[in-house]
Amino acid sequence: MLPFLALLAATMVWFLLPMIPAMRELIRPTDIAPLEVVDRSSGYVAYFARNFRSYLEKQMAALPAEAQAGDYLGKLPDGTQFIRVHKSADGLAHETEVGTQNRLVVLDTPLTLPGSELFLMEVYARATLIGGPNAVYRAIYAERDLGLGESSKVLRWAHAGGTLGVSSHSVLRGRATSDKRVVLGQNVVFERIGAPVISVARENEPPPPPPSSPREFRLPKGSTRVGDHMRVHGDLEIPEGVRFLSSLVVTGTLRIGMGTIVEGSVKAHRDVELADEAQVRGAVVARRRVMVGAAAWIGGPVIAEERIRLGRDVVVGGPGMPATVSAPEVELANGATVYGQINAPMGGRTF
Amino acid sequence: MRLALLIPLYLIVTVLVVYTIRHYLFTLNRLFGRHRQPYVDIGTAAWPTVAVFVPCHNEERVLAHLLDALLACDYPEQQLKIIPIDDRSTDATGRIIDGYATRFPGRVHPIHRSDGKPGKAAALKEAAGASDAGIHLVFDADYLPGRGLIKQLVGPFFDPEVGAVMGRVVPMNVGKSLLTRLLDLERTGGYQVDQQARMNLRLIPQYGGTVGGVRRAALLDVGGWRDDTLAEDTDMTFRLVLAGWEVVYQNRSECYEEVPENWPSRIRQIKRWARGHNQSLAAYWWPLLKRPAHIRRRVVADGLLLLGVFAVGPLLLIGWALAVVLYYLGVQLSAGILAILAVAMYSTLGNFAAFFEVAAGARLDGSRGRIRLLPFLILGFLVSLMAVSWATVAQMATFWRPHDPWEKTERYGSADRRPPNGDA
Repeated sequence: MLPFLALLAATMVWFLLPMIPAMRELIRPTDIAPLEVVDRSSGYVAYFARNFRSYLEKQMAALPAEAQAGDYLGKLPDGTQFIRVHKSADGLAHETEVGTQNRLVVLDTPLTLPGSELFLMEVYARATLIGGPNAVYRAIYAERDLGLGESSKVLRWAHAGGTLGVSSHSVLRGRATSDKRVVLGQNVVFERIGAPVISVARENEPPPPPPSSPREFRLPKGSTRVGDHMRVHGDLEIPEGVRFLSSLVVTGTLRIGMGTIVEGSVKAHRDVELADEAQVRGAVVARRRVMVGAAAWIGGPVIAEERIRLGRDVVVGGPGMPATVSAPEVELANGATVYGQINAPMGGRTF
Repeated sequence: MRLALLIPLYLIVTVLVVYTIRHYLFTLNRLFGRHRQPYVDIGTAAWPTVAVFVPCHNEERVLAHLLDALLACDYPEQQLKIIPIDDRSTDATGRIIDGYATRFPGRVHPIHRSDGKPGKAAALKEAAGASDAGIHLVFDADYLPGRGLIKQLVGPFFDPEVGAVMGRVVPMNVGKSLLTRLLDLERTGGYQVDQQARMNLRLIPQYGGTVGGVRRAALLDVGGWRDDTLAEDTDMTFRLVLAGWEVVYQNRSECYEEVPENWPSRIRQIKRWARGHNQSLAAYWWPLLKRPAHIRRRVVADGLLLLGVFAVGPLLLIGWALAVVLYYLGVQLSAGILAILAVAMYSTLGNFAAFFEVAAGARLDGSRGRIRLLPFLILGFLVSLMAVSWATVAQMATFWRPHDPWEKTERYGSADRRPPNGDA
């Protein structure tokens, strides 16, 4: 009898053990707030930059009068060390380690930096800032134009009210945004970019409508209509120089020939390949890769679950017709132009 | 006699094992698999026209908060119409709606229903014809979206194959009672793990009737909303899938909701869900099993399991009863069968957000304290098990009558209606 009671007691204890923390949490709750998940960053690409600007505005407004203007070295009201450069940039060099800036930097005057600086805190430029080569910025906000020198590195975000120019071999971690345009050099690595126009080296516009209407392409037998689009089982190749008037879903790989125009959106369960000068007026979606040939145009968002490669002079979106390019990896050739936003969380690069 | 009892028991154990494996697969997928959300980063686009439908019946406690939140969304104003549907409310709901329509002409377009069939499905069916917007979103009146939610929910519709989108529901009145805290945990398991795993594995994420929407072309393609079902969401999910459309779940498209704060209200809610879901089971198991050419086998399997979710509770009870009867008949069940029954019973308990799913979901959400309440979940699960079984038995007794009366979930409006980050 005793062993049975012992076993019963042990079982009860084992069963009741998890009830101890449960009862504690019930009686003295430590975690009863709703999950703070709604609108975490609004998906807004310039979210952190805007937040920083409003933070700095509040801090600067609370500074004493003597610290409001001119060159100044001191602390913000929340204790953050900062340096303001109004006339002379000499102060930037007065750090324990040459070239390393430990303070938050506010630049009131247009400035061209020599290069190789390491900014451990944010940089805020009220005027145009041209960075030198090999500089490293934690984060940088420029009210006007911002130029990043060759092989620069931004660790968290960069924003320019004017043009954001990024020289070759630079690395943009996090978000890079501009209210006007972003111009990327060659071999630039990036993650998220947002601007009315994003281009590699040169900016392109959507192509004009074709002078004559190409002949209409008819789908092979066996394709079916599903609501507002056509569905094709297996691979599909649309020949060059034709026009397709509907949206299209293909369960294999979709190849669109040179100069062909698709009036709707397209999706492939494998890859989508657009030949040179092909056009899709709507979105392009692929479960694997989207490969776009030279001078092609896509009017809507481009989404792939593995990789997107935009060839030379490819245009996505257009003036007044913003679009997003989104895939784990994105590659942009010279002249590739996106009107809107590029997301490449696993890494994007220009070539 | 014994064989007649043993065979159903083995069948029930088999079903429970299948569901247990399914729960483990989903959990492992969420813990170690690739998180699939291809559309969530569409932040810039030429946004299509959207109509947001808000079916309302006596929603005076909560409606204004939702309308304020919708009006504050960052979706282009000229592309967005908000359509509250006052379904013969007897409180101030109608006046609240008219007040907003007056203050926001061109943005709020009320519909007042005074006759016809009552209920959400009937209201949506009637109102859908009143809008030619390309995307139809639906919110219940007790929900609070963030500023960016409309764009997030519309993003997937750029994919021409997507027919419906579902966002994530996050309870807002968590701290009200033990029940609200348990429902918060259940939601975590259900959305963070279950729905997202189905999205990851390209199975059938379920359109849940709120915090989501359908493409108008898809809606027309499948014949519009049906008003003879209590679960127009499940019904729509399966009709879309069978017709060749894709249903998408977006875990990052979160929206606050008010969960039931007392047990009677919760029991009524889950009984309604069970009856509606079982209607869909009866309607779609065979069309799904026949497998249209565009549907893969694993999607069929997932669809059948999804349809049967609310049937597992009664099956579990039958299984227990059979095991007891067989014991008294002197049948020695093998230890293996008993062990499987015990593990399946405990870890899925009639399918209501298995414990390990909830734990995994809470871990993914980064919430530590609330997970300590996990042992209490058994209480919530047992109540659900009994409620669902009761509803199922009652439903079978009436042969899945098509015109089940609609029972509205009670509203409280007692939670702090501002989201924690104060965005809406």
